[in-house]
Amino acid sequence: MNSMDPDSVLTVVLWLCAVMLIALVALYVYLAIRKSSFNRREAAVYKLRKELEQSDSVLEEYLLTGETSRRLSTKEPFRMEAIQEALLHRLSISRTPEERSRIYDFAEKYFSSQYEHSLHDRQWSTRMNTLLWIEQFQMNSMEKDLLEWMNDPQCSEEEYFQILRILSKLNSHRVPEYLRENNHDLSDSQLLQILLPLNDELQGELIAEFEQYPFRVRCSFIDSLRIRNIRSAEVLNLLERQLVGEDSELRIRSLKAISNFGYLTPEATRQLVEQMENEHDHTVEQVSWPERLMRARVMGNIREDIFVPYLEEMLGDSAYRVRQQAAESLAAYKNGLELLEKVAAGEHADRYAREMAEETLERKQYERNLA
Amino acid sequence: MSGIWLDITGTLFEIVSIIIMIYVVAVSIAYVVLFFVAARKLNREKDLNESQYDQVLEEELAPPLSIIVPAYNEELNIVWSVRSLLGINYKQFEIVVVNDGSKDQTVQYLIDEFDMVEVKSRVRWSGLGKPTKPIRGIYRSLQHNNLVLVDKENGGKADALNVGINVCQYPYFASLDGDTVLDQDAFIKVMKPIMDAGPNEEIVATGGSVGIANGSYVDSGYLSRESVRLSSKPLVVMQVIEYLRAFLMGRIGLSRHNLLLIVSGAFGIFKKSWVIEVGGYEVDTVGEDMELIVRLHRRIQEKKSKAQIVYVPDPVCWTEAPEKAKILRRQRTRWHRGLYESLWRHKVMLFNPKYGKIGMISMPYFLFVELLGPVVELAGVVTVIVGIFLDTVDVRITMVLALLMLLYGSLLSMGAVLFEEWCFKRYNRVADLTRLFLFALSETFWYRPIMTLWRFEGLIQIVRRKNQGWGDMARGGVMNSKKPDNRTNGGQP
Repeated sequence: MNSMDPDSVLTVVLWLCAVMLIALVALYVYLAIRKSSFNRREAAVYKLRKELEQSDSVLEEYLLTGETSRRLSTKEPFRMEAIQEALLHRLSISRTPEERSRIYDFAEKYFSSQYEHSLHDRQWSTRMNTLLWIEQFQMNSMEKDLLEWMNDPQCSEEEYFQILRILSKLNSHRVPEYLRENNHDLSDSQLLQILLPLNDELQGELIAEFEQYPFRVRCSFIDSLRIRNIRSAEVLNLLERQLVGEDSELRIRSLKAISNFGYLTPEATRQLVEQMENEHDHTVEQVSWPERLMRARVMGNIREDIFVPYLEEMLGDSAYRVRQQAAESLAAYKNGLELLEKVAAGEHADRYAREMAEETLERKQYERNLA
Repeated sequence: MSGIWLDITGTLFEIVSIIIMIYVVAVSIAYVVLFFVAARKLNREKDLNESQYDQVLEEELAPPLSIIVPAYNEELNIVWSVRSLLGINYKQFEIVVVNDGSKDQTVQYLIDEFDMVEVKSRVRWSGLGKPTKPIRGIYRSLQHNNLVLVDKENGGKADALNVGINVCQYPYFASLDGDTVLDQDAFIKVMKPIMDAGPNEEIVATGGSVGIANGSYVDSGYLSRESVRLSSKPLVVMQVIEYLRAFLMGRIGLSRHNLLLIVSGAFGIFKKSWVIEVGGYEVDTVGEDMELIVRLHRRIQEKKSKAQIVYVPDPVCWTEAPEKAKILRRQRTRWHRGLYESLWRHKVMLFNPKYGKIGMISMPYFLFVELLGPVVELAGVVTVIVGIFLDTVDVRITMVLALLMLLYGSLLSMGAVLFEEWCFKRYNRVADLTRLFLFALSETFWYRPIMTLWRFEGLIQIVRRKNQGWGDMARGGVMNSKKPDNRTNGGQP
């Protein structure tokens, strides 16, 4: 500092101070204005929304009759936001398909030009919010714009996935095409989000060409069949085919889906018993514990008498959760509790099995008392 | 003779001043960099619609999660704590309450409330090799299949967490402070990066922002959006600003490049297999949460893995901040000791290119900026005073520089408030904003010097306690929301 002229140092630092002070005050003013205008906007939108939700409002009239009134304009400030929110709320509680399709029609008619515009906004979050709206209102007319944006180099990863999810909700044929490609980088959860909304036609396509899809897509697809609780002969056939396949992950997921399905063809039952018999005789290697767990669950949901000895054996399994599930499954059989009582009383060579039986009986007892 | 001495003192003094100057400039630049990294990310995401989570919430594929709740003398809150946890938005989870040898009725209250019975059969163990304090019993609830209570002898929070890791059965676990108030969607928000991780990515741990609940109304374990208020107590407001700065600037900036060394002890989610691999929580440290993260990073680097530790800026949980200076002081000196321990144990990583960015950037940052900051700051003050005394420092320039630092600090704090406003809008009144602004301005005059002193005190304790050994550090209360001073939990915010 000695080498510098104190006065010039002073001037420079003072200038810096002035700049910072201005920045600070500007920041505060910006924040205060932003906050108060945000609050004002929120209040205005809330008020408009409440008006629109009145039983005699123009919006209600439209939803009932399908006739638009000129008063239902989206031009005025905050109107669009308010109508968007009101419709979204309506969608979440709406039960009739007519009403839903009227909501979608409305969105197509009044929002699409705005959305087309904001889909190309410079601000990422604006684009993302627009995509979320398009998804909620299932806007078919936007498909072309979405596909265009998807292939734009500027489209971010998040937007890309979001668009895929929309396409899946719109049941676009692009979705199976996309899934068949091997190089995508989606997580299991994201795959599921894309697979779940597909309609029967696209789903049929996936079932028919199941083997052509990448492994991870196949796994998630089976999960999606289970979650959607699809009970058709084609699905059962697909699942049963996986049971005799080589891959244990697919077998586990299929078992899980079958236990949800609650039925197994006699042929598949025979095969399952045969497999377990072979493992019991040590002619083949035992499967992993998660697979045994799922088997135990299947046997609890399908309840064939032929399964009982295998479940009893599983009570003494080396894995805690298999024992637990086996006891739970046995308890679901008609004479299950008696069987468990016998086991608990010492009719099983394995101590863990006896303890597990006891524990399950205790809980069943408690549940019965509550009922 | 005295001439030589004067010369030496003068030169020494000059060297010290130059070091301090360089330090101040370097740190200021580091903060500006962090500020801009965070600004870029948050500006991109500002005003993003909350509905992005709706889809995930309905979803079945959220990985099953074990929630570990260590409890020590928690009879007042434990029941509603567990009740509010049982009501979270999540598909498949289990709650493992670990009673750390409480001297009150914690265990009995839980057993009575949730109809718990002792588990007789062998429990599946996760295989954490570390020895823990003996377990007295394991109970399960007859009401809720997913509620387990482990009663063990007192061993501190880290020990309780280790037992919880051993008993829990799912691939991910959340560690939770007993007094943390969670957002209902907290788990889904913090799990989202894990669920979105592609087949070639791996996430070892995630954590969210912690808010300060003081002044807001917490209704039986929940804090709703409308009930968020800024506390009227200056000490709390300053902590709010401090947390905003720490989370929204520091952590976002660091997390973006996988440099993060802290996941809040109040609420974090970990991949169990990794935690078991590194040996679980360290028992004899005050900052076990930070220490674990550093150890995970170390392992990641040693395995040359691409695994990540991610921070989610969403405010997912709330905690009660100390309102009394005495308690705050205890907390801060403890945090500083924790910071020191974590760095000391892993000192081989410092400036070690083998540990990549963590060794070359994170560790030096935490050492020089966070740990030694107070020393340099105090040295700076002393130098200036001495300088004025010796008449080698221009008083006017000193004053103006001080003004510059004040404005700079306030600007950063306001920057954090700006980020908060962009993305979360937790404080919904202009008056709250004005208060945050004014307090941010006043920070340099009182809050910062006090913090510097307390952190310095933490350093002194480290030097002194070194000789006494660390034996008694981990004991004492694990947590109690009514008396935060008793906690040994919680690292830095």
